[in-house]
Amino acid sequence: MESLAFGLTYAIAAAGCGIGLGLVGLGAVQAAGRNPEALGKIRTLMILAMSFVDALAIIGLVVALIVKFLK
Amino acid sequence: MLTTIASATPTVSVAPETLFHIGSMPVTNSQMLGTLGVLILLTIMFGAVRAVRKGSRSRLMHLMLWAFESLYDTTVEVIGDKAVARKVMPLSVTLLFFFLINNWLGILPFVGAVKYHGTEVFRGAAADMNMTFALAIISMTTAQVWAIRKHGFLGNIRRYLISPLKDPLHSFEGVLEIVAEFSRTLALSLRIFGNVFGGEVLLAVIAYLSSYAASLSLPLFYVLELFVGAVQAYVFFMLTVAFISLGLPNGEDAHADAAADKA
Repeated sequence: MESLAFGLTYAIAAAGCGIGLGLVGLGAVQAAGRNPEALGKIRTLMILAMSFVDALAIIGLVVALIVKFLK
Repeated sequence: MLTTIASATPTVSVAPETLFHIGSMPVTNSQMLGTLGVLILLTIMFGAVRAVRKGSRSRLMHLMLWAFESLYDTTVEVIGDKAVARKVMPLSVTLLFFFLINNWLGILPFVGAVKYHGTEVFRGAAADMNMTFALAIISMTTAQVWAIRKHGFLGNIRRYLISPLKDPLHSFEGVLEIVAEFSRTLALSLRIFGNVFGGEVLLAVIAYLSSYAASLSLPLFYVLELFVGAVQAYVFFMLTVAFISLGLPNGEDAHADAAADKA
């Protein structure tokens, strides 16, 4: 049961963040397609937005590890 | 499975370990690397200041000048007021370089390998929740100080507490805003702590999973960690500046104007 909780804590966070990252990538690619000369700015913004979304999955991983190792 | 990893490779410990005591103050392994990072940073920065005063134009100086100029431009762009941006910049850029140096030091191979009486002597400074939380509190307090300076003490309180009789919707929003200030502090500290600590765990797991091929697979993940460390330091800088700009009067209007100008 505990292993299941450990797995799910990360899996649910990662599932949501997967959708979020997909949306960020979609937006960036569409923006680049419409406006190819702004590619440099779009890339910076995309990486920034991705790191925001990423952080949530990583916080999920940390919470899972804390629950597993700090009792 | 992770318990076998923990026994085979550097142990996964969420909290930093105490090395020795100065008086009654415990000195942890994160503090050791943090101090080393500060010393390296001071050496680099004082060297850069001396070189700039001399008028040196070496490649390193060009890199430093480019970094400071582009960071200054970003700060001005977000805050929109040059006088304020010049005063905010020292704090935000110091935070950026502090995290950058410490994140990059934290993934060097000697971290976790050097041991003293069984405890690791070095551990990534941002892999200690106390440190990131303290810096998050500093940047949020600075944001509040700037808000008080610009709105006045009562004006700052009026941003959060609005009479429900006058404007019920905004009074509810104000209460939410108070909660948001605290959750922002927590998220700001958890974001960089999670990335650095998660990176360490990731490297340990990859080293374990690829066992004999570790020398082939690990360099790729080290490059990833270098990138993540730099991006997270930049994100901390960016968010500090953005939170300060939220408390300034007409910060949002200035953004709207800039957006309108571009469109």
